[in-house]
This record gives sequence, structure tokens and C-alpha cells, in this order.
Amino acid sequence: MAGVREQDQYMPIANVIRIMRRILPAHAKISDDAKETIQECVSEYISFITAEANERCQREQRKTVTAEDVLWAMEKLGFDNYAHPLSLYLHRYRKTEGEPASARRASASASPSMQMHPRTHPHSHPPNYSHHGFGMFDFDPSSQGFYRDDASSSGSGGFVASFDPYANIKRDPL
Amino acid sequence: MDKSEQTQQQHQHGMGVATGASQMAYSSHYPTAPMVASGTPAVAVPSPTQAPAAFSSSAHQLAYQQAQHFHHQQQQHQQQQLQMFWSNQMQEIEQTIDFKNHSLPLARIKKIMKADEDVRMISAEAPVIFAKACEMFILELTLRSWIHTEENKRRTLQKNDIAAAISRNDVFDFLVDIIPRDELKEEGLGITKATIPLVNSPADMPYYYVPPQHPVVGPPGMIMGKPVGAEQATLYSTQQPRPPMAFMPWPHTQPQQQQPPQHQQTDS
Repeated sequence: MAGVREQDQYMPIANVIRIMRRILPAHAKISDDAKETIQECVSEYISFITAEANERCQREQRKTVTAEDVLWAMEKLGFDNYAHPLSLYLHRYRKTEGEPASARRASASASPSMQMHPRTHPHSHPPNYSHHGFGMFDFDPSSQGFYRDDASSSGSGGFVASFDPYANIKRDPL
Repeated sequence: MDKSEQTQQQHQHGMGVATGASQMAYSSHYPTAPMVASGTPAVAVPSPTQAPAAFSSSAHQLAYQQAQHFHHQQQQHQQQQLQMFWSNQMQEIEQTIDFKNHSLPLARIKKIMKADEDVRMISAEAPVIFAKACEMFILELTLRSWIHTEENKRRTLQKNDIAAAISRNDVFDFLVDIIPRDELKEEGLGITKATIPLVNSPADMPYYYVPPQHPVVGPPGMIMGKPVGAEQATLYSTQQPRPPMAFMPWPHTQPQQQQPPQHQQTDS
């Protein structure tokens, strides 16, 4: 019970390590306490932003925390660098996933669902299907274990590390 | 150069007060060099004779300028890295095609958001945005931490590197509770130093920056399980009196690039 609950309070450490390695040079090593510390920092980050976003919701007497609330909270709390790229991300996400109206309907009707599925969009246009075809792995969105598999598969092929900040470094510490 | 030499000669030919002034000039330059950068070449203690004194003075100035240049170059390099990071993030998002696979599980994100009892309902898009935001957060924090790792001439990113990254940026103030106070206090000194058990005086730092004997690597302080609430506070308070752990792996240690992900998941 306690173990399960504790585990659920952090991001999976494999996902965290995979992301860390994307920006570190090949020879870099990560100590175990650093891995755990980043895990804790991420959860703290989510809670920190969520609390601010939720405050705005309650002030405006709304019950649902939206993506806009999250972006607003980030800007207010000093994460301006994040808000700008994420606005673009949200915009492109909505383009890919379909109409905002259907998105709202989906979120309202299927509150427990984690992810919008193309099949739940009865009015989807053909161009959207071509987009979905690029990476449709989640045939069973309700399964948590499946999400983990998605994360693993996305790590292997979905994201390609295109940023190498140390390519120009000639100095070798050893 | 010549002018400074003439000035020094005049001082030396003058009274004892002038000599004292010149000595003060030497001492003012000397302590600055080792504190600025580790790459500064070591300079001998100035001697009272004329010729070596002039040499020491010019060498001091050169060392100081080199240190300043090195430091400025280092800061500039760090800024470039971070700017490149954000520019690259924007580019990556512009090129994103797949919005189905996220680097972090949405269910877990929602669960963490729901841990706040005041949060009632969450739109489906919020965890999606958080998945991308957390990815950027991990990347930025890791990059800033690695900068500190490199400053200390290490290749292993440690917890104190994360503590340094957190303490150097106000936007991360909400994370101070996660880092033990001694780590923050150590970094607060503002002096870049290697985490080595051998205590060196600042003056000797340039000579012995790389210790001749590598300290034995003890078992890392593995914390079994994740503390929650009061337990976490208790655990961290227990950690406070402990001295900062020296962790310098042997040069010939077997390179363990990455541990099996499944094993890690089992542990966590």
C-alpha cells in the first residue's frame, strides 16, 4: 500500500533518466541520489504549478483546471520560458487532435479518461487521420500499464535527441 | 609594463611606507587568483628583492586577467548553452508530429495534480501540457546541474550539483525543501570547489586542485523508499548533520553508462 502510493507520487524513474540523458554528454554519469532528486523536483513542480492554476480557477468560480490555467500559472510563477513554447505546443496539439469543441465535449463527458483517442471524434476530418497514422500505439487508453509501454516506445523511437550543447567542447577534463 | 616598473622602483627607493604600500599591492592581487578559476596558473610568493618582485607583480596581473577572461568566457558559454536549449525546444515543438506518445505518463501526472485536495476537475489537455512542461523542466534542471558538475571537474552528476542549480536561480526557490540545508549552505558560499575530503587552504588550491590520491568511493547513501510528509522531514533532518559526501570515482572504474530501466523501475 505505502509502496504503491509512494511510487505513484513520482514520475517513473526510467522516463526521467531517459530525458536527462538526452541533454547530457555521452560520458556523463548520474548518481542514484541525483536521479531520485530530479524525480522529487518534477513532482514538486507539478504540484507548485497546479496549486497556482487551481487558485485562478476558484477565483473565477470554475471547477475544471484547463491547459490555459496551467500556462497562466507558469508565467505568473516565473516560468516564462516554458509558457511560450507550450502555447505553441497546445495550439499544434489541438490542430492535430481535432476541433476545440469536440475536445471540450470529450473532456466533459470522459473525465476519467487520460488521453483523447481519434475514435472518440465522430466528426474528425480525413486530414487528421493522416496525422494520427504517424504514431498510433494506444489502442487501449484505459490501461495504465499500456501508458507505460507507450512511454517506453516513445523513448526508443518517438523522440530523437537533436540538441547537443557539448558538440563544440574541445576541453577534456581528464 | 615599463611604467609600472618605474613606479615600483620609485617606491622602493622611497621610504618604508612606500615599501609597505607595494607589499599591500602584492597581497591584494594574490588571494583573488585561486578563488576565481581553477585553471589559473600558480604564482610564487613575492620576494623582497627587486627583480623577482617585478616578475611576481606582472605574473600576478597576467594570472588575474587570465582568470577574469576564463570566468567571463565560462559564463558566456553557459548562457549560450541555455539560449541554445530554449531555441532548440521551440524548434522541437514546431516539428512535433506525434502528439500521442508522451515522454511521461499522463495518468501519473493527473494523479500528482489530484494530490491537491482543492483540485476538483482537470481538463484532458492539462496533463498533456504538463507532460511537455515536465520534459523541459527535467532537461533544463539537468543542464544547469551538469554545468556545476563540469565546474568541479567531475563526470558524475550528483545531488549537490542539483542543489547548486536550484540555488542559482530564483525561479527554482520552490524546490529548496527538497535539498538538504547543508548542500544549499555550501553552495551559498559562492566558491567553486571540488567535493574532496582533503582540506586545502585557498592559497594552495591551484597547486592541489587534483589530489594525488583519489579518495575511496564509499557506498552511496541510498535512501530506501520515498519518504512522505513528516517522514521526509525527519529523514532530511537526519541528513543535515552529515558532512557532504565525497564521491569521486576512480579513473579506471568500469563505465556503467546506463542501468537497466526495468531494474530501476523495480527499485522505485
